[in-house]
Amino acid sequence: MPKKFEMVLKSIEIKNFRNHIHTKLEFSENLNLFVGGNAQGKTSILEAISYLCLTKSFNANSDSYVLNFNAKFFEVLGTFELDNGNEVTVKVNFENGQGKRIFLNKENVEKFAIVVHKFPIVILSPRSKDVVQGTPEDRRKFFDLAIAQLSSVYVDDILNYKKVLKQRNRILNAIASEEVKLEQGLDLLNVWDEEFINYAAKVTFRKVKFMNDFILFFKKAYSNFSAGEDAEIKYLTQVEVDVQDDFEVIKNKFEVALKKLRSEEIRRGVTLIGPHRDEYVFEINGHEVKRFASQGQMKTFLVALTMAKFFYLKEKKSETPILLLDDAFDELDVERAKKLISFVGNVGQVFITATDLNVLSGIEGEFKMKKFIVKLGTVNDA
Amino acid sequence: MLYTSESLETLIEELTKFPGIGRKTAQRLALYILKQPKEEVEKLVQAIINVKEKIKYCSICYNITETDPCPICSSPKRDKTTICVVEEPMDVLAIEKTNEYNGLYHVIGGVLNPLEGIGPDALKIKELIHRVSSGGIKEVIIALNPSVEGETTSIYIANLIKPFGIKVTRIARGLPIGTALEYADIATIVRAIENRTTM
Repeated sequence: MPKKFEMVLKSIEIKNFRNHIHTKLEFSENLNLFVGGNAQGKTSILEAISYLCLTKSFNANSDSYVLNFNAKFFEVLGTFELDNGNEVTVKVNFENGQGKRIFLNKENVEKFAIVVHKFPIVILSPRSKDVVQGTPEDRRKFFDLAIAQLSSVYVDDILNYKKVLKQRNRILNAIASEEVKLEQGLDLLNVWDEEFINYAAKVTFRKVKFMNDFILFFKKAYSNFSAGEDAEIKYLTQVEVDVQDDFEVIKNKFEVALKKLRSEEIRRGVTLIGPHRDEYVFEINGHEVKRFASQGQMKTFLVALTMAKFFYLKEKKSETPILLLDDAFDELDVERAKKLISFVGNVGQVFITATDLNVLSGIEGEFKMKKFIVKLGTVNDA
Repeated sequence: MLYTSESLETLIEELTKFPGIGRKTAQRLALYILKQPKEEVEKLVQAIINVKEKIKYCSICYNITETDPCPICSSPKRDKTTICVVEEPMDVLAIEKTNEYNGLYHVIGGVLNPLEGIGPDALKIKELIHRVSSGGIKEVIIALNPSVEGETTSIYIANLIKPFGIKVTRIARGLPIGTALEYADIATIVRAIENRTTM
């Protein structure tokens, strides 16, 4: 196997992270398998890797949750080799009361979006099934993250959009509850509209362009797992937008739509259109997955989404993403998971947790692989 | 940690009310004050009382001043046809330091923020419009911060001024001088491209 040019996480050092007091690991540039029983600390290693790339865990909602019970701080230090051969270190440091700090090559990073953008990662964990089975918000988050990994400006746009949305809702609410005089309220609403339209159009513009590309990757991925079925992702906005529309056209459409909804919005005191109400509908052969698909089809959909995201990011970015598969053999079935690993393992670095050392039998020989046994927060080579 | 002296404790508590001062710093400052000769402490007290008693807001531009109108508004050397609109007195200081701007100012005292209940009436916007409508103004430069709220306030003010047929401009946003393009963060570069100018 020749050395592939790809982003590789070479090593990691973890301190006071869940039950890992001090764990130091060197990884294979290909497959890395962590095996152990429940609650031994397999997933924690994947979470630590996610801190290096996403600046947060894919499992815990708060930094303090991953802090070891007896410690005041945790630290994750990772060394990456980039596609161009350069080495970069990322250090994440969290201290109770001090918050989280991130260092790129020892330099303090103020905008975490820069890290998210620099080190692409794709994660499949037990929580991922929410993308297929959960709420519209779960799906928006999945795609928003993908776009954010592609463009760090998108993160700013989304944050600004949410700010404007809150302010605009406050004004609508004030008008609805007659807190302000109607005339003055409308004056203010007009100004917030301008900013609202600006950010709503920016966000929508990117989302439309993204889906236009992403769907091709998705369909290709899906056909690898289930030939003959037609899988579809529909991106639905309240304002009908075409992929040919440029930014100004989309702005115009939002402006027209807001005017139409003016009295309705004032009556209800809340913003009725915009990216925060977008929907992604997943379909197989024209039927909505969430309502009609079998368990197996849902799993296939999820594995195809994961694979599509991986290859999409790989093509659009200068770095090859890292893939984390947490408990994938339970989530996807052994066969689907193996298939995914054999597609991705050929082009990138994969980190896998499992309860069985021989779970990759059959495809093991195709890859460079390192196996680790995880027990009570300590890790040994298998 | 409580001190044996109640007056020291009171001083520490008062000092912690300052922005950026935590309890430890407050303790250090309080103990420093305690060690100073009495005259020094009296000077400090007098200085604090003076800013409170002598400083007022200029009735024209709402900048802080000891004389009304303020030295800028009453200076015959300033260009009285241009007004620069800023959020806070600190912003006036920042622009004055450049020595490049020779017009007048108008301090509106914040930005529109519905969530915090700050509407146009809480800001000196009516007063700005009054100045503009009294004649003699050729240009209004809006120099509010580039936050979402600052942008919105800029639009709001521009909309109110435009009917008077007066030129309204906004300060440019983009790359800071001295920053090499390759080191600027992406959002800044994107803003700079959006706000590019014709050569």
